[in-house]
Amino acid sequence: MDVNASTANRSTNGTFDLLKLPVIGNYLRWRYSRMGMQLVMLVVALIMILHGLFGPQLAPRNLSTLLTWVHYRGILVLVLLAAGNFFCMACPFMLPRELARRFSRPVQNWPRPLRNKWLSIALFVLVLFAYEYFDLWGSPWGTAWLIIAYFAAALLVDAFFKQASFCKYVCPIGQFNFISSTVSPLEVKVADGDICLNCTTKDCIKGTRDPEDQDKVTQRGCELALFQPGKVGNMDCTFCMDCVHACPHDNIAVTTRLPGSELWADTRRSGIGYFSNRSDISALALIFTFGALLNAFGMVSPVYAFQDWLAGVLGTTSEAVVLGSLFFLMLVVEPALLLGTAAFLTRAWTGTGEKLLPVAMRYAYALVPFGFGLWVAHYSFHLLTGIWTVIPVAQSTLAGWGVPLPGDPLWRLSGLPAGLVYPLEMGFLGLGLLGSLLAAYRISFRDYKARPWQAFIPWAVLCVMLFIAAVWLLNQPMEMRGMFLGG
Amino acid sequence: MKTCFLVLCLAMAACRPSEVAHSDVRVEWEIAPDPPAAGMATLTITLTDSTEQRLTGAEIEVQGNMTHPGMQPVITTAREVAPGLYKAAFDFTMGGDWFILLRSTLTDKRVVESTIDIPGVRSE
Ligand code: SF4
Ligand code: SF4
Ligand SMILES: [Cu+2]
Repeated sequence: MDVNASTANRSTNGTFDLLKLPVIGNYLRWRYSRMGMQLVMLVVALIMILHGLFGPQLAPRNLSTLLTWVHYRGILVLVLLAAGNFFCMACPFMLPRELARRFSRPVQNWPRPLRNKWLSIALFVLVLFAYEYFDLWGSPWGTAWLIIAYFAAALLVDAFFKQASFCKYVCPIGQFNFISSTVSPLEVKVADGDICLNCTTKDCIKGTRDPEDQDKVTQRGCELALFQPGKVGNMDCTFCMDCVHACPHDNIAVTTRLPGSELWADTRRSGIGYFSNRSDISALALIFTFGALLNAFGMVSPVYAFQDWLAGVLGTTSEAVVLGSLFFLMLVVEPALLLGTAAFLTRAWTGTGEKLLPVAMRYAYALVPFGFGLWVAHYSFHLLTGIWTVIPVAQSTLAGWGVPLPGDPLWRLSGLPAGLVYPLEMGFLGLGLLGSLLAAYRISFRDYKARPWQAFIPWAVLCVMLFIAAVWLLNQPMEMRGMFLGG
Repeated sequence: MKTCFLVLCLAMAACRPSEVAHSDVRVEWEIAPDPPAAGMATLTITLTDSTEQRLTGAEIEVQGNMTHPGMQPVITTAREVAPGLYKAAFDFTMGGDWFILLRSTLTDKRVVESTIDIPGVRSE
């Protein structure tokens, strides 16, 4: 690790910097910290793929389904809530592409018309759809192929296109992590803005060049086009720490901030622009929020009654059609109606006479904390109630591979009782609601200085309505089944 | 369509053989109520050998799981209520798709493992 001479000049003004903590800080500043974490995740992913393809096809007894749908999802959202986007940092899908790039460098730039989130939003919806349609939670084989598809897609995209095209424009998990991390407490940020003003090399974006050979990059800069001095918030940041390693002035910190504050900051963001101009990121925020409701709805008992009804109305027995309609209703019609109404009321009560779409686009960001709260509530439920089930599954897997173990698998292990997890779930939902109310309030006071409260009230009502819907959902009896229209 | 499905279900419900590891031992089961709803149900199991003789004195471990990973399993044992006829009280702790693993240890120490699929347990 190089310790730069200017470290002494660095003033973080006493703010928290994760990189300065004794053990964690040293580890993160180590050049191979990311690769170390990725290698661990790669080994886990390979075990999951092998077990998914060749192990028992009983989802609770297979590591691919268990680790993906219970542990990975649960730990992912809790880490986002408590810290930041550390799963992008540790993402194993990046390793094969790193290896490939040692042999051949991509020369293409990602096509301009696709430099936005629309493709990745479509893929995100596709993954949610496949999850329900193929009952991926119950299919070790299907889950293994989903993981393989991720590896293949990342390798393929990044073999042809420069920079982190897959992360920024394609990866659905990445978009989930980016939008979630807008409410994370940690952020990669310049420590002292003055140092950047006098910086001539801008290594954090351009990469560090070999002094002998200016064409050779010895440490790459941000592959996600986030230039540190202009970077605002966590959107698009994979926590890869490339900028930290590249900055010759050791001027980048991982600091704390008010979670969610970037949702109401409408400043120009490096690599992103203004949030209020990015209809694709607004749409991502909405798909993220309403997708949380849809995903939770998919596993409680009323969804079957609703699907039966829908099938009757549409006069079809095709699961694809009914599920597709359910997705369309919950991800397009419902947000359009709700946000359209709220935007209409805001316009009417503030008397601005503006177009409705930009209003809805600006306020869409306010729903993110609520959406995140629901994802956390749902996935932490699965994680906490099923956390120890991995022990007997690991025992029986090892035994199946001929590893001698004392005793039988401890099948009785599961996790916390659901009754204990319930108050936690409500707590996450409540926090999400508070965050959304705060964001809507700040956006109202930012954009409607003359009549902020009139602007705020429709959105506050919308947030409360969504919250009530989520509480209702989490109180429904669970009924996780793959059978469609089952009588 | 729906009625066809129901008729089919009822026809199959009477006495269903399950997949068995030892081909000379037949495991048959019934569940009541059928179809089961969340809550208590009774699982009745018979073990027969290739000569249609009922197998007595076996120990049958019953482990129920949801097809969704990470859910609390339901573990119990079946009691022999008549020669070669075993019953287990089984608690479907929630609605959804279930499968039940039966592990029968016969008097000659052979172990027969079988899987019963119980999809679509209603939550009310
Ligand atoms: S973060 Fe470092 S490399 Fe980037 S502009 Fe500031 S001082 Fe220069
Ligand atoms: S290089 Fe870019 S993506 Fe990586 S941590 Fe720095 S700002 Fe985030
Ligand atoms: Cu769930």
